[in-house]
Amino acid sequence: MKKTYLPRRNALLTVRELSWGARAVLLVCAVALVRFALPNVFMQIAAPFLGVSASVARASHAVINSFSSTAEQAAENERLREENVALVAENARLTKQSSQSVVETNVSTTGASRGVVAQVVARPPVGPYDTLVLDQGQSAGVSDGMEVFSSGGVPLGVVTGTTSDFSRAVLFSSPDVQTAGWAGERSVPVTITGRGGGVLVAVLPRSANIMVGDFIYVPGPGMLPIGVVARVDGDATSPAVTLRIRPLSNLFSLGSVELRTTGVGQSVEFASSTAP
Amino acid sequence: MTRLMACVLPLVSALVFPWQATVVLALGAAFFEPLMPLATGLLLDVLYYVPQTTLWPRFTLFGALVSVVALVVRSRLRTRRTS
Repeated sequence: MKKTYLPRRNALLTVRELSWGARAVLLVCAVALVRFALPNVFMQIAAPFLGVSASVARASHAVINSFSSTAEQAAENERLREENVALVAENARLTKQSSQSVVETNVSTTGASRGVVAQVVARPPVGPYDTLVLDQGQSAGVSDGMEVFSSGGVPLGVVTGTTSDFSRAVLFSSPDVQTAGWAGERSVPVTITGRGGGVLVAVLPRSANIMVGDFIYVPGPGMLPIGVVARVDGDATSPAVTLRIRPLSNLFSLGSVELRTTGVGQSVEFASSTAP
Repeated sequence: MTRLMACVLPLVSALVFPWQATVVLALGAAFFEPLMPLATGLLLDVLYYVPQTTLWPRFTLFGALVSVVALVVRSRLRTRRTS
């Protein structure tokens, strides 16, 4: 008589019956547990993997640029040089303005502390929330509320979380982040709203007469430019216009940033309250 | 092998490629493994979510929603095949 063999079934689900998707979910849950229980250990393990994206981006740029003609590259190089010269000049003018306003308000600059230089471990567009992961933390003197500056001194965002060796910063372009600032040469007060992907917008009355090419400033200290008005959108019958702002710094290719305490964190509003 | 690649590619892409590419890969993986959008969204939020940006971890929620849809579609297709 033929015997029918029936394998003993366990009341609990055996590992063999789990799909690959279920195993992936369990793996990610374990990773999440490490992140919340041991955030510094998690960042130390994850940092090399997060840095892979920068290496891949650099390699892909090298491959893509190898197909460009020399003439195009030379023209682009010249345009970037001119832009850089203009920005340096503008920065110098603003620095002078800033020092004058600091003197007028009797704020001493002799005690100004130098910033902490940090390498960017992860940046947009790999990260979807317009945040930076930096390789300096509490042990280097980084604390919540410090402002993040690019290598050219352009404000980028605010530090919102720190561990012993790493920190996270939310960029001004992060979705729904609102920053108080000024627009144009007449320093019209404006609220700058992030839209993600490095995009900044602001809504102003049409009577403010902000034009394409006008600079947008944020505090920290004095008035520092963070972007240029790239487009002004608005219905002809509407009393308000929407400014589309192009950041001065390329957020997608940040290598290192400087962290300084400027007090500007108080003028940045986040969509939610600070949660652990 | 296809299922394994469908699971591995979105998770690797979350570390290497822009998040838009990760989303596309996760949606493609949903045809083979319905839980992959959830796993991918969860990984993106584990790596990059900061409470100060948005109230909820959006990618986990979107991934869960897409996974539920993929599971429902898959069960309907299986019912059709067996009937």
